[in-house]
Amino acid sequence: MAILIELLNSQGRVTERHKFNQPQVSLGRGYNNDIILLDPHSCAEHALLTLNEQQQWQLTDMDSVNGMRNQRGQRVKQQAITGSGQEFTLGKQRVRVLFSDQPVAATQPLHPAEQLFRLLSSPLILVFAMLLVALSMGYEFWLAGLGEDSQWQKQLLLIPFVLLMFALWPLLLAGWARFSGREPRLRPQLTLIFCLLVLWTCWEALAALLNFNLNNSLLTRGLSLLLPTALLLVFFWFSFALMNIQRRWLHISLTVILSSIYWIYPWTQQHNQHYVPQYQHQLLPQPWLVRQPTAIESMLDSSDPLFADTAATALQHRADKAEKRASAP
Amino acid sequence: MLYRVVCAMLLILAQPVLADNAQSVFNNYQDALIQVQVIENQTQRKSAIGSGFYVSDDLLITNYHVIAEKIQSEQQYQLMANLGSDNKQQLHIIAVDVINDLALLRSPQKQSRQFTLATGLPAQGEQVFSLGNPHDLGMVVVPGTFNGMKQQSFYPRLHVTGSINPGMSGGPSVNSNSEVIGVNVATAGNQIGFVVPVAQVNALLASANSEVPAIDTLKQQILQQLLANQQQMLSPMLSEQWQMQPLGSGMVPTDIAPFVQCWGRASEPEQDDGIDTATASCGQSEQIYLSDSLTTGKLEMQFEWLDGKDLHPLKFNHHYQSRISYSGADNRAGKHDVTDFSCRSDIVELAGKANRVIFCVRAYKDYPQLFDVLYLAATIAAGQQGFVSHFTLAGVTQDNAKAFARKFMEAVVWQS
Repeated sequence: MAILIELLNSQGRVTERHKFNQPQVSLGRGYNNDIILLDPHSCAEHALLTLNEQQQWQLTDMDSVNGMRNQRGQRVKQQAITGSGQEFTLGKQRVRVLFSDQPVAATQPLHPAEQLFRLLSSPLILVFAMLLVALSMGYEFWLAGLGEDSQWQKQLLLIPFVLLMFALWPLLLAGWARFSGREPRLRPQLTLIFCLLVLWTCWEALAALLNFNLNNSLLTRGLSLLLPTALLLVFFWFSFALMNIQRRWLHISLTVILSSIYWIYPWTQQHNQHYVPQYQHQLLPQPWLVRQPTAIESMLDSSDPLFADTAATALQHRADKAEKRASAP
Repeated sequence: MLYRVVCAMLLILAQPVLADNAQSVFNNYQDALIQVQVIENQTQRKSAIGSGFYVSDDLLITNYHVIAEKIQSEQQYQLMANLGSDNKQQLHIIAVDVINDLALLRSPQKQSRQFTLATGLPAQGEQVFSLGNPHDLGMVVVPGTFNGMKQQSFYPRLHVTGSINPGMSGGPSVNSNSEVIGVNVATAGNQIGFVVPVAQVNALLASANSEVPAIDTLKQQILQQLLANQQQMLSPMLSEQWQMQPLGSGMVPTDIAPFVQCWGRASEPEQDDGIDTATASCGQSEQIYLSDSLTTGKLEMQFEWLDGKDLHPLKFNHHYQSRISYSGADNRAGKHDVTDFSCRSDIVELAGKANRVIFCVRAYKDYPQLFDVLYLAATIAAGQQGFVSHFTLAGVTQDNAKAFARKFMEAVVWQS
């Protein structure tokens, strides 16, 4: 029966895998070994794996400087390989011994979105998405600029820095991937985040159109609350799927934390609505108006609930005050 | 020759006569004039002072705004008459008139000397004396000139040139016969003072019961006064045709009532930021004081015409929209006085043109049936021109608010 030897890094990830059919395998830093170790703490002739007459493999330390330790960290001179998957440390090098009848993990199916991932890797799409994001930012600067004192052309210089800021997350992931021995997939991550920003800009345009035509309808308000959450959810799902990270709790909690800012922020703001009212003030040029305007009378009729609601609040206030006065000595 | 001598003698005599008058007013009526103090119960310190004067042996007149705190938080304050040298007497409120800022008080201390009320107004230019207790310095008499009724004022006020100062509020202004022509109420600075005419004092005296009413009854009185006042102020405006004039392509009212004054302004052509604007605003100069944190009874309107000529329509729209993104109430009101604004925003057709119309309402917490309303409209721009119209009404009923809004929406339109 053949024997397999795997070299592991400090995280337990396999870095090399060797298969032998001979009855004797030598391990060490020397070039005459069957497995040449790179760890400077291992000796030139560090250990020897041999098959004895009872057809049993055993690992023997060749009087090395730093010795050989078993899975429990005890220093051993000789150790019989009784089962597949036994681990040793030679110097600082982790080694695992497997028999060839060791079963392998089930085959991982290709990710259902693999086709999309390939699309995300396309540099054309990345450049296009970045261009759209840069254009939308430029458009905002241009919109706000008015008169001779306007600095909007100068503000365009800020765009590369903002783009770089959005690239931080993909860069962070890529760095982490390199460290943990995964595929960095920087380009698909970049494409993902910029595509999402493009979607976000589209949503803002749509929201303006909806707000303009439908005022404060439930549809627009609901969408404006749910859509950011949905976009974040999609973003993290793709981002993690790309990195082959299957930690659903991380995915969901990141989404919840980030999207809750959207919900919590308005709630934490001080309300001065008794002085400064809040209302829908969306304006667009006339061609964007796709509905019939309301008549004066129906506008006035629909203001009745405003009077009724505020009067009810005032009434409640008076009742509370009377109650407080009655309970006071 | 003889004529000149007589004139010279008259001139010489005139000065002492004037001084004599002020002195006699001071001497004769010093006792009839008191300082009204509002004392905070916990600290036992003055929280407001004003003047007051006897109109009968136990009835005093002062300004409502002097004693307003007592009505707003009855338990927290006491009303005292400072009769000099540690002689303090508790005062009771008999009646108030918030519209004319008057209050009728009763003092336990009877006073034999009283002011008599004049039967009519003095002639314009006649010498008058304003009495009071400015800055807590003791009684003063300030000579001044009567300049007739204040023009363009919905609330009747006499215009007196003379230095009426804070603390003289509630003191009387008297003619040369020492008869009260009115009650000092306000100053516009620069020696311009305003006095509530004696007719309003008479009306208050006539309406008052001799009993001391509960504060809640007084509040009920105040509500009735406010309701009657807003009706009186708005009904002529609602029934009459408004005089309109163009502002750009917009039609804006010029004179909707004699007491509403309008002003206009246009952006300077050399200040070229791409949008030319012309604005007009109308409003009243006075309002009703209810408490430190609440004023009401005011109407205000604003109009703005914008022309973005060379701007891209989208760019114009962006800046046009920012003109209506923020708006606030015109009268002062605290969180405890009014509810939050509740708003309705819609696209409404005004004279064939689509407009973004915003209508906001807040209710008075202590005065049922009264609301502040805020209206804001912007014509949906077909090109690079826009028209914003706005009004606020403070302290009106639902019916009047809606009627005014209807009239405003029908009149203030884009004239194509």
